[in-house]
Amino acid sequence: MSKQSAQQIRRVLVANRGEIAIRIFQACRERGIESVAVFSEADASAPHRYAADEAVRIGPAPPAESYLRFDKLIEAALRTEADAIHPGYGFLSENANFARAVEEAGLIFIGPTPEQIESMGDKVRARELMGAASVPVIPGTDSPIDDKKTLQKEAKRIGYPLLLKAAGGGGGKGIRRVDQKKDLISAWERTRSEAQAAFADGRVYIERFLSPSRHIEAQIVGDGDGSVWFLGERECSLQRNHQKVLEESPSPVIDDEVRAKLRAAAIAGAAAIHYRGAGTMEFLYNESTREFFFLEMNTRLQVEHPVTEMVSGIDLVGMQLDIASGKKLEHDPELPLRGWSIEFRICAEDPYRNFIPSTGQIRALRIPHAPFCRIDGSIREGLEITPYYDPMLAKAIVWGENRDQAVERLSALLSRLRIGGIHTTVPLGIELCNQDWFIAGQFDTSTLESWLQQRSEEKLQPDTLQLVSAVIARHALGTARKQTSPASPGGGAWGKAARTEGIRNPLL
Amino acid sequence: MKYQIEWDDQVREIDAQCDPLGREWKLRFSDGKIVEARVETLEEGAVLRLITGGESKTITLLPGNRAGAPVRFLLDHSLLELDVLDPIDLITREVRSGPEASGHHPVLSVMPGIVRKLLVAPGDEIESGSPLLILEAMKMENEIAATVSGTIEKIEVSEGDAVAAGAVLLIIDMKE
Repeated sequence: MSKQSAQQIRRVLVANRGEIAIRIFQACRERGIESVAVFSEADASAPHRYAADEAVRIGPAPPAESYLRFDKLIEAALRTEADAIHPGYGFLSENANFARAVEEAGLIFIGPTPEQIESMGDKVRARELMGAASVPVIPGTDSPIDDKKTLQKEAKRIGYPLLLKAAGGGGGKGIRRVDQKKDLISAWERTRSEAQAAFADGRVYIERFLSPSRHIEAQIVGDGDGSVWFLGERECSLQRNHQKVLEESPSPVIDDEVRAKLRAAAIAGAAAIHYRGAGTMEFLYNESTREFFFLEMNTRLQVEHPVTEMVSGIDLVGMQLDIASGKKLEHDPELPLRGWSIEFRICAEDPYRNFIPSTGQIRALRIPHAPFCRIDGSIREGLEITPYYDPMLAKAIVWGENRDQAVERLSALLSRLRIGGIHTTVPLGIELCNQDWFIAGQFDTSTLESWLQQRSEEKLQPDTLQLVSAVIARHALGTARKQTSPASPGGGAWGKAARTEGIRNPLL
Repeated sequence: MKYQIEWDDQVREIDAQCDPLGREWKLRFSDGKIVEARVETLEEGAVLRLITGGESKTITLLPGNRAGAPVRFLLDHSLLELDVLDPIDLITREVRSGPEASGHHPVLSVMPGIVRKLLVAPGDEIESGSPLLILEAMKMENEIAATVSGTIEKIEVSEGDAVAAGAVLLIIDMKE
């Protein structure tokens, strides 16, 4: 475990924004490494801009003109005398050409080698390689689809429903389910253009859609010389529109026997390619047959990495920095995992209006102080939420001795977290923590969507208590608004302020 | 004070009286039922404790509540969303309810976003359900479809435009 002093990192530029940029700056700070932020014009007052030692403006709001511009990012790194670039997740984190350009500029890319990103990022080739390592894979096309004729032929061969997936995609973006032939071409075109915009790679392939199962992923870290660590699994089945909503570690359905198999598969796959850095192997897990299928490998840090950190006590970003500095690992050690961790993604979306993005100003913010709770975020009062980037504002992460305690802790945390001025997914998280099926850990990748569908169709039949609450809530909101009823001046401090100063409660 | 609560196709009227501070309540339902309640304001006005019938419940008011929008809150841990009209809303509504809109149907943006692609041009005949344009918001492309049939009368946006929620995207001349 010796550090190669030649590769000692002194200053890291983070080619990303939001909570992950802030998370990485902090890991750098803990190691005495200086950090450089980059920001677009839309992010001129974003929290991440001010969270590093230095900040460089890289261009206009659209990602293609800022956070996806190789030249501007590398130029910013060279100009600020950074010696390494951390790509975060999303944006260029799984772009082999970027990693190569970074290395060609004489900088360290904090992540896998360009070749590893290329082979795993090419979902088609990744499946081949994993298949060779005896990991079971899902049926799909052998190559990306470039023309409509091949598209229709392959779709017919694989059968509906099917998934169109961006070959260069990840993080749930650039995936579309197609149920019927008539939707195929327009869905393919849409997926291609989305993939082009999001990943600068418009290739799309087909994969068979598997009936509801669990999304289970294995966290690994490799040192680039064939030594690999397995840091347990994450349960990521609660998804909507292929976007993870809540993740946990461990999974309520993986026992020691299955975990041992997952570990063996993940270690073998990563070791075979001498994987360097933090990575995630995604699997679909069938509870009844206890089988898992390799989906893809994410050659980057994941949004949900904190749940692994909470149960393992290992700083994954710190490990990324150490490995980029040349640190070597012992192969496949026993790493103790303890307790249970859950993460809930707080997004600027209206969970009760089909998750419509909610933009506007965060008018008030109350982050609770609570034990065993961690909030990774990039928010502050007064921040304008723009439509240009991912809607995730923050992540609420909790740890408990066991799953029940973790669920209770998350519910308690979310019920005291207030983000005023915009809609967020916070109330959905509170509701989830009180659903019997969630408390029992009984769900698959389709459960959340069908629950949301069911609750939107439910006939409302409010009882007396609910009607009384609604009137009282309406009255309280009325007094928090400017125009109060002359007949009812309304109560509470805000009612008084609203009357005398004509202001409204920024929390509401 | 008269309140009116609406859901699905039902309406309930409630006559509510409270003290000036909104603490002691007496609510009379149209069927004559009377409920008494005590309300305490907690956490900067965002949370109310409701004590009625020997029970204590927590009402968490949720952000994004606007005048005219349904009231949204958590009652303990369950979400409730109801159209509650207070005395002022009831007056405003009477004033506003004029004759039904004419044949010119504006298509409004349901979300803030960027117009990626226009799929129709002025003069195009469209059916209800026809895709009109692609609106990108937070990295996702959303297809905006017509909810009425007719002819595209006017397009108010161009590809690449950033639009706010509620902005007029285009106008459809509805079929008779």
